[in-house]
Amino acid sequence: MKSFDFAPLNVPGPTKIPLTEPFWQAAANGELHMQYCECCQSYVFYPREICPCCWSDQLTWRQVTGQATIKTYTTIWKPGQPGWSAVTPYTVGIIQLDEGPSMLALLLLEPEQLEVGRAVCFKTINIGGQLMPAFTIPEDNHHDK
Amino acid sequence: MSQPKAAIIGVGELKPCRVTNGASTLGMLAQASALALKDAGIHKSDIDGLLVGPQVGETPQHVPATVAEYLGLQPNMANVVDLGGASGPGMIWRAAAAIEAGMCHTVLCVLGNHRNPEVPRSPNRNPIREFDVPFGASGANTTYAQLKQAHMAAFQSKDEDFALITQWARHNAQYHPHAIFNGKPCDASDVLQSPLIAEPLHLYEIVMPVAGAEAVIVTSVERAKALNKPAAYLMGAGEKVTHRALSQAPDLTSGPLKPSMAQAFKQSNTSVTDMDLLSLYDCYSIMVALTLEDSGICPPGKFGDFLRHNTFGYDGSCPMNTHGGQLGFGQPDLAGGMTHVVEAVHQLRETAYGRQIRSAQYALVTGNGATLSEAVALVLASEKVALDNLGEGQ
Repeated sequence: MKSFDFAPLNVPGPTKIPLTEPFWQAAANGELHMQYCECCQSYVFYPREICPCCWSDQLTWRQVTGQATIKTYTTIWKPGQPGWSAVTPYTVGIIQLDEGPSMLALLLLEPEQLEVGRAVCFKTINIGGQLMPAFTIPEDNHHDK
Repeated sequence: MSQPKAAIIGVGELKPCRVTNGASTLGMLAQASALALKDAGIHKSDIDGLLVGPQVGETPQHVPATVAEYLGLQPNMANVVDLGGASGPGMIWRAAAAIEAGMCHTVLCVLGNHRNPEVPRSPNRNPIREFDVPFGASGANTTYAQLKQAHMAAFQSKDEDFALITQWARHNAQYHPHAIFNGKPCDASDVLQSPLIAEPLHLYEIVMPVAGAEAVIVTSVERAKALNKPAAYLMGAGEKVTHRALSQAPDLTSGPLKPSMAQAFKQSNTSVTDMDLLSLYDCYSIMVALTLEDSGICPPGKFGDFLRHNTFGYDGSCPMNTHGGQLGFGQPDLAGGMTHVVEAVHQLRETAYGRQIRSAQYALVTGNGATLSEAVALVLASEKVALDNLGEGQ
């Protein structure tokens, strides 16, 4: 398995706000947490003050399985943010969690493993000193600390 | 028969260029506006409405007042249209609506940008900045590469299919002297041999960013009729906004242009097969593929067959982006979407010199912004069709 070392990168990190802090705290602990709407009983991503489905403010935080499916992806040779040039080519994609929501994240798969519809799972990686969610093949479940 | 809603009486366009040195956005907007005014044959004092776009860097706030002051206008209606590449087409129906509401009678719609060496970076502090950018997913290339990948996975579409879109755009650019790729045709194999930027997107499937500006003047049908020169007429419009970040998109193989185009056809009592020109927003090859399929002119997944069975020059079986599209003409920032309006106006009033479609009556214009997020579709018609529909053409 190829190792991905994004820790030395000098790239923009997430612009966290108090509302989103539980998401980033959980990711740093090797867990994926999402908001859950107690009113319409659906998961919400990204974090919001109200549920985008029913506008309820009854949102709580729950851990999700981290099991997901690749919806699409791209392998980037010329990044929009120059700081990422040090690790090209790298792959980002949109994954759909088994719980419903979709999110964008780094995909830590070999080129021949990349396929729309493929099952992947969550792991934490270090990007420029920030612990961030990423997705990989189920056998590779070691979290960065 | 549907009635014309408003008329486009003047267009102005600056020749795109790759680099400017010390140009101001305001200055370029003014130059394009002056060209549109001259084209319309009206006086500056006739303009009483103003629609402008957002300007990252130079004028972050108070854009309408800043542009109005620079141009010496004191409009009765002024606003920003902030729909990315759909801003230009989005201005046209808003101008018509403001005229219909009695707020003004003649609206200047203007967009453009310089390309000075120091590029202002967007100061976003919002979800896309928090949940996309930190993963190395900055910029539109990443988004549209993922849309192309999703299409290829869903329909087994091929790189060779997408390459035909650029081939035709470059072909048509040879007939527009201002196009940035005038003198530089390319064929599908050149596209496939150009470098991969974000797989599966090749360099030649991506627009060339240029400096430029585009201005359009919209007025009432009554005022247009009183002028002694042909106009193009707005017959129908549709708009839809579905999301901001691609991860939040409701669909990856169909976009908000689908309902927008359906509404524009319904309002104008037309269908896609009535169109003599498809002036389709083409920031990337995949955008044209999705728009053709969403328009209903070919089934989902079948744009490649459609491209192989038709010709898309001004003299072809299905004229499309006869100015070269943005893939051939260049993308002057937010004004890129307006190039599709300006070309449709030229074709409908027969001022597309050297590339004139024979007796063009209807044109479909589309705009697309952000990540397949913001959509506007317009159906424009020639003066003959519009006045026939008013019952005054005989």
